[in-house]
Amino acid sequence: MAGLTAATKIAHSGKSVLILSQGTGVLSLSSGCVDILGKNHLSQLVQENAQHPYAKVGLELIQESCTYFKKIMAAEKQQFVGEYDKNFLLSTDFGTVRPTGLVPQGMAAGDVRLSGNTLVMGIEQLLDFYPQLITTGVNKIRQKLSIAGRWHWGGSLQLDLENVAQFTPVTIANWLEKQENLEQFIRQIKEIIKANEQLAIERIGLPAVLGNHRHSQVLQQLADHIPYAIFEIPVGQPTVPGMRVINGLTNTIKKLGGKVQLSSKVNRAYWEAESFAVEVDSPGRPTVFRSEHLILATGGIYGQGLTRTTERTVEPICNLLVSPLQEDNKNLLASRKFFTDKAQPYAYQGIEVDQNLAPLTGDHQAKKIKVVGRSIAGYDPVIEKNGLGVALATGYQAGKIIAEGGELC
Amino acid sequence: MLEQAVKGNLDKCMKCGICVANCPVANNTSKFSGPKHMGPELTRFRLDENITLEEQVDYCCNCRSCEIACPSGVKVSLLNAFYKSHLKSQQQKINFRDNLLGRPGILAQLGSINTGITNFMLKKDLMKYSLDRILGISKHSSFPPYQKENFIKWFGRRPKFSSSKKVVYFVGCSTNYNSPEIGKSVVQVLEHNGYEVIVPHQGCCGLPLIANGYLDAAKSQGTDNLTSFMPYVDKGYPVIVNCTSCSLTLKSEYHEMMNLSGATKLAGAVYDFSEFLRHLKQKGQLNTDFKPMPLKLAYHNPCHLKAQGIGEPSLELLQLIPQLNVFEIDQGCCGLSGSYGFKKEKYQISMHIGQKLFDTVAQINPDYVTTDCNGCAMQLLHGTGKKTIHPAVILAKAIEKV
Repeated sequence: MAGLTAATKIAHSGKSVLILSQGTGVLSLSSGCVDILGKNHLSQLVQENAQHPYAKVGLELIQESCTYFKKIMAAEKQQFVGEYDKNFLLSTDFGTVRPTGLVPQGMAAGDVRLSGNTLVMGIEQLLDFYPQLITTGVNKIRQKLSIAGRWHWGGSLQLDLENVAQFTPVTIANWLEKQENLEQFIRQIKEIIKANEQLAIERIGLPAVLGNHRHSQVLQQLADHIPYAIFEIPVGQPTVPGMRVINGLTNTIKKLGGKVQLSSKVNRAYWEAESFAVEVDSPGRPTVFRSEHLILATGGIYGQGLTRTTERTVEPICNLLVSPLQEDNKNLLASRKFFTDKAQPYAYQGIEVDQNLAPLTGDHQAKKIKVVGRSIAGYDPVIEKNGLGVALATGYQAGKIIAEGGELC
Repeated sequence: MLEQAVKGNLDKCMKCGICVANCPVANNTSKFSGPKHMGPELTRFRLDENITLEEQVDYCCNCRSCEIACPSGVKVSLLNAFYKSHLKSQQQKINFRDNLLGRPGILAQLGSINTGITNFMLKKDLMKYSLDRILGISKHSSFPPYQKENFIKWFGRRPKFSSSKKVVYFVGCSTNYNSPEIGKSVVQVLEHNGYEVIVPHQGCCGLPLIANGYLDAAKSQGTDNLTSFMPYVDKGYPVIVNCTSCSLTLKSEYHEMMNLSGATKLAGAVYDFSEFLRHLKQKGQLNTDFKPMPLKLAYHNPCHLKAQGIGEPSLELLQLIPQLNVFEIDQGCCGLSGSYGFKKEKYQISMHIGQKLFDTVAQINPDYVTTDCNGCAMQLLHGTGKKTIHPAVILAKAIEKV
């Protein structure tokens, strides 16, 4: 998210931008929503925690990045709703809930706090989607929150998927884009609604398979024929909503003349002859690409943007200094409990940056590097539930600085 | 098996499924469970020597889309290729078709005995029907014609251009026998930039053998090519290759898959033709005095070029030609994957895979399509009816004096 957003902003300014990436990245594994606020009170966080990436970019820029994201995605026929300082509360496919900020229009009606009865339907062949698990979990939460109405399992659609390869959300989403298949889908939804008419439902929940590249057309046809609000629940890996976001950002970059080059793992980047030399691990011998600016959007420990030696955590591409473990956790890289509600010590490690997202330590060329997303020190996206929000805001900030040709502060 | 698993970076697989979402075969047929299952998942079981034979691995077309998309660097195609080879070695019956399709050089030599008759017969419905029934080569396939004088013969009889700057040229079967004009254009452009081109004795790169599961035969092929090319590589001469599948094989499979002696050094010397020209341009040594070419082109980026991580050097060079309008098609795999799309049971899959590409070409409506891979060129011609030209041919035209 961070790299793609930065590249989009730069490409919009007319400057040339090249993304070098080992693969497609893990944005497609996300829910397709942007978690911004998470559990935090944003203005309080920004004031009290100067080390947090949100504090580096500021509230105004967080808001600006959300507006920008919504505008980009709308141009790609993906409407997003929501604000930077409010949460939706949506269901996961396990029946737990997740707070999130920017949400595709096709998910907005799935806020678990909306009163009234909801009918959740599955697809017989989509084995990883368990409507009963979802409704059981969500109803427990609704009961705690004293919300009127329940989520009901309505049944499963039995689609004619004979010619579909692999019953995954992606293949079903592609299947649904053919008119005759969508008509079959709508017919079966109507049958299930009729069979459950005693419930007086107000909305319908479905697995997130409502089209891949033609999502807006599929949503429109559903709205034209089904008289209830419909929402998707992301399921599987990768998720279709996650893939839509990647495709939307990538398409935008390419339309603006930017390049996205996969199969291009970067070994190292260094300053040479008044530019950055970025060395890609191509078969045979490295291929060097040159640029005036460098944005490091390689992720954290899971993404291999930060790697562990036996003694310390390092940033392997630019050899930037990684912040040490916090004083109170000096001898502990990870909590002893794997599933804990406490932040992991290693999570706060990363590159410490200034307000321009340049590394705090390093020579003057390091100032031309922008560090974005998970590579930045000072936060734990899992506990705080704000991973893509930080990625969006910092990616946008980095792109804006380069696009406008100067430092912001 | 363990060595193969390690080479394939098996333990890096986090089972995210991104490879499956990007696999053109898994998204177009139910006969292939996808790269995640056939690659890393089943390799774990294959580490135990009691291996169940999963014949569906034959549906992997070796396009490398899985590897290109994988965020963890798992070499899924490598794992599948090793397994295909194991599968073939266990089969009792000889597979004549795969043996033939794995040896395009030998097929071409036979077909070139009389190109007139061969080309005539390959167009005939009766011949196509017979190949379909007897060998399982799809009757819907179009076979590229063999040329009367292949490139190597032409090169051998022309006056030598001498220079202190030298390159060696790996021609490839398709360029040599079907499209010698590509080879002639490669030579023309290189000589125009002051390079003497040397064409050593050579055979097929071996990729069709790998793709059809004959790894030992591919190793033998690779060893012969290394014997020919290494004396030049040792002198520091770049090795120029105009087909991106051949260049990927020389850069990657010879050492990663086949562990051939000298292969790592060879890989370091291999350049895709356009990659080499871009390299010259970066050093300020490329003659960019191109004449205007007011044409509309659609450019297809082959999978095996994407897998090399070198960008799109052809596109960069074509954009230097005045008045040439180049549109990038950007619709993924063409579907042919070398010999894959010629097979009866894979033809329809191949055409489904390429359909978006064909539709986009129709929308762009270019004067010509251009691509670096000879296999993709065949598929694009077959699927769109549009003449497909290699970038080398366009560059050669652009340097011709008015």
